[in-house]
Amino acid sequence: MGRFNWMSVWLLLLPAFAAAAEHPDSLFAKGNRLYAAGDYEGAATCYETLVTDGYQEAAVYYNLGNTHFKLSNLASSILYYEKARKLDPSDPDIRENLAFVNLGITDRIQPLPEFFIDSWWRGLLFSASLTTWSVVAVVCWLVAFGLLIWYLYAWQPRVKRASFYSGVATMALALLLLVVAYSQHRMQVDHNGAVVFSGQATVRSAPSESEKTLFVIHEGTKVQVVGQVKDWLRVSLPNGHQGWIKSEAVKMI
Amino acid sequence: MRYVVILCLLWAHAARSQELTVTASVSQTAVTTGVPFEVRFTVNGQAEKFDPPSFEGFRVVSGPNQSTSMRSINGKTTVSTSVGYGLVAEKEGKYTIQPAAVEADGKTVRSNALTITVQKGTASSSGGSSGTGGSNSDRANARRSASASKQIFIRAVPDKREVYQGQQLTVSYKLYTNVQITGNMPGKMPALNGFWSRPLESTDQRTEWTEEVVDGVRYQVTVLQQYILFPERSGKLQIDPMEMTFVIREPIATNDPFERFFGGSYREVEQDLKSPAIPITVRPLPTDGKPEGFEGAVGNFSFTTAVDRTELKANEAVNYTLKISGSGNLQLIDAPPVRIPETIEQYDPKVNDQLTESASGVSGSREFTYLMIPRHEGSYPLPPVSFSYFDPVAKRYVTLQGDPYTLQVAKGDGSQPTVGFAPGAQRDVKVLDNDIRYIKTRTPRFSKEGSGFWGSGGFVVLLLAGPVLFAAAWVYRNRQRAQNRDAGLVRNRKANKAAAKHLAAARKHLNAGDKKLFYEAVYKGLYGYVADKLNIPGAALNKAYISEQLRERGVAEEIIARVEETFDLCEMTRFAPLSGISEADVYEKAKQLINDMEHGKI
Repeated sequence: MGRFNWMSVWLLLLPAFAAAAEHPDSLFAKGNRLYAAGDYEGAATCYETLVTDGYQEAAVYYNLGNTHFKLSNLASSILYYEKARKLDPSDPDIRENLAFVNLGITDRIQPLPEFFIDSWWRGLLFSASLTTWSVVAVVCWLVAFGLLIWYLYAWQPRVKRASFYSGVATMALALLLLVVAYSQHRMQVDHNGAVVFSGQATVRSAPSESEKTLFVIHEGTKVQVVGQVKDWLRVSLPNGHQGWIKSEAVKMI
Repeated sequence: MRYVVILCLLWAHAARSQELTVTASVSQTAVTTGVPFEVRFTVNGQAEKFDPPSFEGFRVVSGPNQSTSMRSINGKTTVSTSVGYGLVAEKEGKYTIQPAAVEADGKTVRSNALTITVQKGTASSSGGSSGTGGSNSDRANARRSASASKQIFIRAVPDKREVYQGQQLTVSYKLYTNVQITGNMPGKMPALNGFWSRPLESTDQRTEWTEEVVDGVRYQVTVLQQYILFPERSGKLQIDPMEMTFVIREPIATNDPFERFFGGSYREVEQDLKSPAIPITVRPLPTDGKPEGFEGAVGNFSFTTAVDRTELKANEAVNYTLKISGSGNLQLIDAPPVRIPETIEQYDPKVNDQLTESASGVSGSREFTYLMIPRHEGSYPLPPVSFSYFDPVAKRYVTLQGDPYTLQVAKGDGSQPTVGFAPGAQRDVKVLDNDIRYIKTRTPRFSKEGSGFWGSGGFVVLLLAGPVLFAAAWVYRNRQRAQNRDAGLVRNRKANKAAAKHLAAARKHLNAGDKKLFYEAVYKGLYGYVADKLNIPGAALNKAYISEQLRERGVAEEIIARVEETFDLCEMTRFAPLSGISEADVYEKAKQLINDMEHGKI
């Protein structure tokens, strides 16, 4: 009898466990299935559940961006693509789709010309994801120390010399890679980008409704947040224009 | 008018006695504003001058209309001239028409004055009635407003009061009457704003009368006009009134028994009729479940597709026909969107309608024929075309699918331009459309937020592992090196002792007179000493190596030479007795050498 009771309790609990721990893989696959079937609302729900559960993956954000594009939520789509790009700046699909969706927004903003070394550096930084950079850097770092240890134990002068120089060179490379990874990490942390969500938002010269309107930006435009006073954000556009905007008009990336 | 005739007769009789008389007469003494009436001045005899009155308070709309009549009664000829004026009263009240003056034979004769009572007329009958006055003396120009009569009216009767946008409805304008109609005049047709309308042409010219009872009264009913209507927008629309004027025959109450005997007398009355406006509620089509590609078709339809052939050669034409049949707003249906492969040339569809319009609505079929010319060989799938309509009865959208076809296009004839190696035959790949890239289907390795490799525990551990391992290796090597050095030191320290032991043994052998053992002990003592000093294994020991090692350590050449000499000596004495040197000397020499090396700090 006692065994029977235990069985029934277990059977009752089983579905609860299953529901609580729906595997992220299966949820992701379910979202993909719904997307393929054209049920974009359902797909969006799946992906959003993944995000709220803490699985913030570039692929999930990218798929959310696609889903919202299909639902014609332009601003949401841009927001999620930007989030995806923040996590994986090297992904060509994300960049491509973001560029495509950005064609649909009202504002055309000519970015300021960039110093060429800056663009090279940025190109280098974003040519691989943070994880890739950090893995390669750590491998280089360990190889460098391996070579130096070899140097300690080598007897033959030729081998000793070779291991020493190659060890030092690999160490320098590892340090450079660590700097690259760190820079990318800083860029992600200090990103502070935001996407305009209201149909149109007025940018004022100071954080007050009564101040002059400097310019008006529209849904989907990406801005850089450089400061905050109460519920006003100081934003900067890629073309260098700055002003104050109500914080509810935008969503942070 | 009858009285006028009688008066005329009386005056004609009087004319015989009187030379000249002028009589003013009027068709009605009580008139309504806006309705023309006639004033006539009749002169018996030849008038030389006629002077009309000023007609104050009236407007002259016609006249003077002069007429002369000659009558001969009993051989006496009478000439009478009459001058008529058509007048319209402007305002109600009592008016007097002043007498007219006539001059004849030097005398002036005046007519009688007339008093006219003017009543206010109805607005509806004020217009359009001028010119009828006096021309038809038998018809009383009475008009009535439409509301005045219950005996005749027009009604607009729609078959539905509530429709969906685009749903067809039929409206009939019906005439209800229980009086006799002698004629009608064209009226105002309804504008029917907000509807797309099709008037129904009746096939037979005869008017068909039916009987209908409305509010307990029996009426003769006929349909004047029918329209098929398609509401073009949603909201409250109205079926506009139709206006028409009928001439009806109306019996006049009379006291004359003869007239009553012959069916009484009638007068003809013009009757303005206007149907009341009918509101129609047009509901918008539901947005829920509206299929993609819905073009606004409302009704009940069937849908068929056909391709006249599926196997053809390149550059030959093929007809793709879509046929929609049923009842509804067929004329308003556009061609359903057709997705024909881009490489097939496609022309605008030809539309062929076969429609019947009846009181129940428009029905029939509409055919769209696409002419397509594939320019390249291959197999081209034509995906099924779907056609959607809204069924207002079932209140839902219906999507019908056509059939899918596959065109098998063979190589074209030689006469046709073929894809060869002609220059310029290559074409760029055309970008037909742009879209976002597809979603990521490869499942990522899911991990909770913030557990990327950068900054993680493993990352830090691996980074630290490098220097830590290096440091450990360095320390280990150094310690080992130090240990090695310590072992050498011990050996070094023990070297003298070991040598002393060997020399003591040699001394014993010398005293015992055993020369062979003596030399062996000396040799061992010296060799062992050097080996221990230099920390080299015994196996590697030979004279040349020892010299090299000693030289490396900066030992004086003189000592090295002595070491070599002593070794040679020992080696030689082991095999042959030595002459010229005593065993005691050898012993001293070795002892001295060890002493020197010991002090020489090798």
